[in-house]
Amino acid sequence: MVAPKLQPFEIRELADPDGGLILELRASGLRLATARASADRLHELATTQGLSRDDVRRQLESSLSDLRLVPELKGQVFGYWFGPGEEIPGAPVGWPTGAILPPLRGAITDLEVVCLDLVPVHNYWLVLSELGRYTYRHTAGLLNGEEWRFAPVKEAVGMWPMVLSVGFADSIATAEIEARYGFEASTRTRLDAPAVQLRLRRL
Amino acid sequence: MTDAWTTKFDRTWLASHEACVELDRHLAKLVGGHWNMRGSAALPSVVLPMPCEATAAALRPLGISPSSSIHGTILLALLGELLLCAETGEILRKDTVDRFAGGELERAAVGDAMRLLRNAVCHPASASDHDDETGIASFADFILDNFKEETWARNLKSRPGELGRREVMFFALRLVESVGWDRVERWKLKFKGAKRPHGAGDRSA
Repeated sequence: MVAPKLQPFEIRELADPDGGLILELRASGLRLATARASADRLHELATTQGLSRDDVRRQLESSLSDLRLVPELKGQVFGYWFGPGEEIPGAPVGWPTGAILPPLRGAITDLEVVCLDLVPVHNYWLVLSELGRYTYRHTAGLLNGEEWRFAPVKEAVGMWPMVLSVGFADSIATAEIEARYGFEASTRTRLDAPAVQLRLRRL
Repeated sequence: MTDAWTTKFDRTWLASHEACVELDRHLAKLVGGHWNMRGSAALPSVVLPMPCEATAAALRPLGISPSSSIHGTILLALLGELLLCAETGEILRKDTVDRFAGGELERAAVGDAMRLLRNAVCHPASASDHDDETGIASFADFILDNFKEETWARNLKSRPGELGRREVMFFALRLVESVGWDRVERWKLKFKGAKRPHGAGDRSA
């Protein structure tokens, strides 16, 4: 595992006009992750578990502190992107060129699965947003109607190559990511744009 | 049959005359402001040494020839700098990228790639492996860390001449496509014809 190169880390609270709690993990002035508890959630935790706002803040800080040590998302699947006309070799060549995150209730080995698209920034894997699609080869290609494929690493699926066709599924709002992909994924998304979802089908 | 460069170029905002003219009009206004020129004094022809319209017209045929790829990359890198720096009237530096990123890592990756590409093409003799700011080595390291699909970057440090490869020009085109549409939205520019590609999400997700 490669440690993130960004230093130093800082956790700070953002103002939430709705009365909730929002904490950001930042490094070198850049937002790495965000953890939130809505006003409704704070109220629910107070009434059902007796947790104060400070108790919740400590839990969120603890979650973000753990995240900063781990560049990869739990459950992310590394693999290789192949564009139009690119031959898939008999064995993988070089380091993986990408990664996806299957939903909590799904697996990369399913015949069809809708996943998040992950991209590395300073070796810290983030959820790709709609606004980020223009720069990456596979998403720029998909935007222009090209046919792209993804082959997961052998360690993830037990064989090579398991080839998946790739297309855009509907993007997903930031607020919906936690329920579908887990808390950690929700912290690594942009706040100002929906996240890209990819539909992968076994070929 | 259309070549790969023309096909990809024609899908970008650079292929839209209307988009280029509108961006030039706004860039001239911004750059003119730094020279204390206003109104009709701040025409693109007066204040922009490298307008989008003329640069795009030069790029389209230039990119077709593989031996001209580096020249296409240079034009794209400088155009990217113009788009990122016109508001502040500065050189593209780390703090320019920080402002462009607005705290978002995804945006920082695009801005830093543009900055390091500009450095690489503008300092082709730089052989330093210890400088985070200049030269082909820094650009190669950054691309390997942040754009893992760009496998051409693996060879750049041992064969810096490969900065002239066609794939680098295609990468530069994607960066300028991304930055250009970002500027169009930020500056609320309107023009006919070209639209930012959004891709067809399906409804069965």
